[in-house]
Amino acid sequence: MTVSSIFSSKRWTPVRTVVLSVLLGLGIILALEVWIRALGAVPSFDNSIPRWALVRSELEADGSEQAVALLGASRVQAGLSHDALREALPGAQIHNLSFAGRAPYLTLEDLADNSDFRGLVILSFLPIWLLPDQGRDAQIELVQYYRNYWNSARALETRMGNFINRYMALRSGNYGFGRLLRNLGRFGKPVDQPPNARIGEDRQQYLTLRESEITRRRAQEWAVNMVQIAGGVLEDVDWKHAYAELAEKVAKIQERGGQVVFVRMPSTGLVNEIESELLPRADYWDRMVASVPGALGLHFEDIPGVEAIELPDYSHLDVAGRDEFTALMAAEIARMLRENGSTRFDFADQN
Amino acid sequence: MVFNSYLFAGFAVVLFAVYFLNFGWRTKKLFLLLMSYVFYAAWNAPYLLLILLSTVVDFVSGYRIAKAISVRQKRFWLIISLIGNLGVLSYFKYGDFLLQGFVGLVSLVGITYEPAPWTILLPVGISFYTFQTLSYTIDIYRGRTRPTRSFLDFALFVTFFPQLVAGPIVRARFFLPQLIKPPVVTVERFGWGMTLVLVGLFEKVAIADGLMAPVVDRVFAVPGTLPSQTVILAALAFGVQIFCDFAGYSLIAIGIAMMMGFSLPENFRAPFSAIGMQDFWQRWHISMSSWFRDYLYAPLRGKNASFAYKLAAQLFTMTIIGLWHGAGVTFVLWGFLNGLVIVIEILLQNTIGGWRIWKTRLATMVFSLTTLVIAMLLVIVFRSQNFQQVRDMFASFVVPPQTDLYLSLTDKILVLVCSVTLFSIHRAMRGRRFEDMVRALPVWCRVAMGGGMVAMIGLMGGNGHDSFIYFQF
Repeated sequence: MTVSSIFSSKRWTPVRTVVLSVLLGLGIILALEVWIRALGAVPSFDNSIPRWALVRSELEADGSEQAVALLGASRVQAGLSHDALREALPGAQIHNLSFAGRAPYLTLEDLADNSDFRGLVILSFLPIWLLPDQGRDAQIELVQYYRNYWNSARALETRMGNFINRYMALRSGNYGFGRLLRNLGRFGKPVDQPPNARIGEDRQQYLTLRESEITRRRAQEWAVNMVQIAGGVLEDVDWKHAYAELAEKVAKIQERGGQVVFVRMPSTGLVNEIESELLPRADYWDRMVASVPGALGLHFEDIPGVEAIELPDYSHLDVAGRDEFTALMAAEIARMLRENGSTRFDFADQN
Repeated sequence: MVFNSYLFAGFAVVLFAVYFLNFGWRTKKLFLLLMSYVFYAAWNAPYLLLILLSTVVDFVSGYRIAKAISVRQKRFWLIISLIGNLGVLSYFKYGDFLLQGFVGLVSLVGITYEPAPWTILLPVGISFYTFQTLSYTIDIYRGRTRPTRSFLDFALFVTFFPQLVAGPIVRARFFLPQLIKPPVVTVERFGWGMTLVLVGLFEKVAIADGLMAPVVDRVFAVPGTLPSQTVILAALAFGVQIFCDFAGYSLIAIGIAMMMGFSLPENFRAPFSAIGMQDFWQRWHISMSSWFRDYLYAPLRGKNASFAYKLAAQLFTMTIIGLWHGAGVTFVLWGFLNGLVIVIEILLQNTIGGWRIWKTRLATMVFSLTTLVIAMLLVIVFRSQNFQQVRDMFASFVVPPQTDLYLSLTDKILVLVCSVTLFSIHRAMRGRRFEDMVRALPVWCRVAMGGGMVAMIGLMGGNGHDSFIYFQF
């Protein structure tokens, strides 16, 4: 039987067309996968809301004192290493609920309302995020999705998606149709990946940044934006009330035996200058932490050795520095917890 | 559960494996009903109770209407059905809208009322299944259909999973007869069903979600005026997105039903080839527009109404169609504007419509393009979040030219290619059947196109979109 005789068969049925189409389509996908793998692509997970909700549900099911919730935006998602945290906090069950680009206030509120949660919250927080228009509601979509729509069917769907993502680099948003088209013309050259190329199944983000003209320009844009949005609003705020609201959330967690550690993730260069100028540490960070009874606070400036770690874009740790920073930060947190009399982690192993 | 999910793939495997086993027809119907409930429960199990309520109320009402010995009794049971369905719909879908309207109203007389935030979730598909069951009782009341004696058949008619959450809105007299005896599933029919599912998935996953949604979302997230070319491209993109989203869903629904041997009515007939907005609405979401025509416009218009009254009825019906799409003022405005265009069109037809020049090929082309432009302008109203955005979007056409910072060259090319291709396909499909179009292609071409579609579905699926636009209606 020749190829032409197969295709010219008068008894050709739509079922055959669809089956052959599926085989052809799968063949195309396989060929593309092999091609981009050969160019250096690796599987990655998107920062999707269902994936965040899956981690949220795992935290809810955990319920132990050793549960550690990481809350924050991109600086936490990219900057904290789970392995380094586990090493410093023996027995810790890490649940990464940070989400790049979205401030975590509402997730903190969600954990405060979660009657089973009695673990440790590591919360990267800027006082400006307490303001309604400056990030307070940034994670509303995540929390509402989890509260209103999350169920076992969606959990199963997300797990099935994760399973496929583990093995297919093409499933990552890094290789969207437009990016794929652009890469089609890059035969033999490394795959054109965005700087924040990889997110793990546990939602850790692995940035590979280089200090460059682009990162400098982005930092400048960020600084201009920060000055614009924060410059005019800070003085009119009733900070006492805002801090009291924050303290209320933290108190709810503490009442159940939980603990909250506020951390200030590092920034350098222009970003640090603007942050220090707009939000002087003594006026904002220190006051905020002092306004929350029982909470611990850790500013990156107080962590010995941090100044040696480079931040290529002045505000995010990349793969070169995240392990080292996390180890230093986690050691400080462990020390603070020990001094606080906390027994949630087995610190005896470390002595 | 949505069709473009891994979960549905597993669901479909179990469904077809059991459905084609050698069970009796009644057992198969029970199985289909059970699977339909599972399908809905995967979204929100407690809201199954609403479907059951609607099923019981309309089954009993239909039976009572048929058995009633007086018009008064008939009316009573019809009103029970109307209150049961429209009451539930009003509460869940329009409760917040009505509450906000009330707050606005009392504020006019100086009363400040701040109700607690509305936290009731909209049950997915409620507009579809309530309309479907309403058509059953109204048709019995009008003597156009007879009630079924089988509760199982009626429950399956209400809950049949392919069309449960986003249509097509099926009439009882169309579907219930199909449940009397087992349908014949031929290999040919099964294959066409698979073809429709494949094309529907491609429209939804690759075109609507993969290519158009990112462009639309990016542009409509920007406050204020935009460069006019950005707004035009976003309108084209949203026109393509909403068609591919909804027509894609309908194709999958029809395809899955066909694979089981059932027929569902056609829901889209190349709407972008329409000549005039009346024609457009006879091609777009046909099962919904025909529902409103038969159950709202026709009784409103009556038999001996004046021309002006008929126009008013038309305008009112289109406004209600707008409201059906969503509890928001932009939807009402969108419906009203559609009605207004149709009214103007009817007036023009009645005055200068007889001129011979309109029958020329060129005139037809101009009318078709004008229809397309109007439809695209109106989708801007549909997609806007509020009046302010509607105003900003249309103001963008008259502000001085600006540099487009929102869309890349790739985005622009994709939008233009997708929209021109879709509009051309619709032109080619005007008056032709989908099957005939496919059959006209050589086999190798069908396989190549199908393979490309499968690859694009595989590349673009699973990106976190877990709903169809029309689910919210």
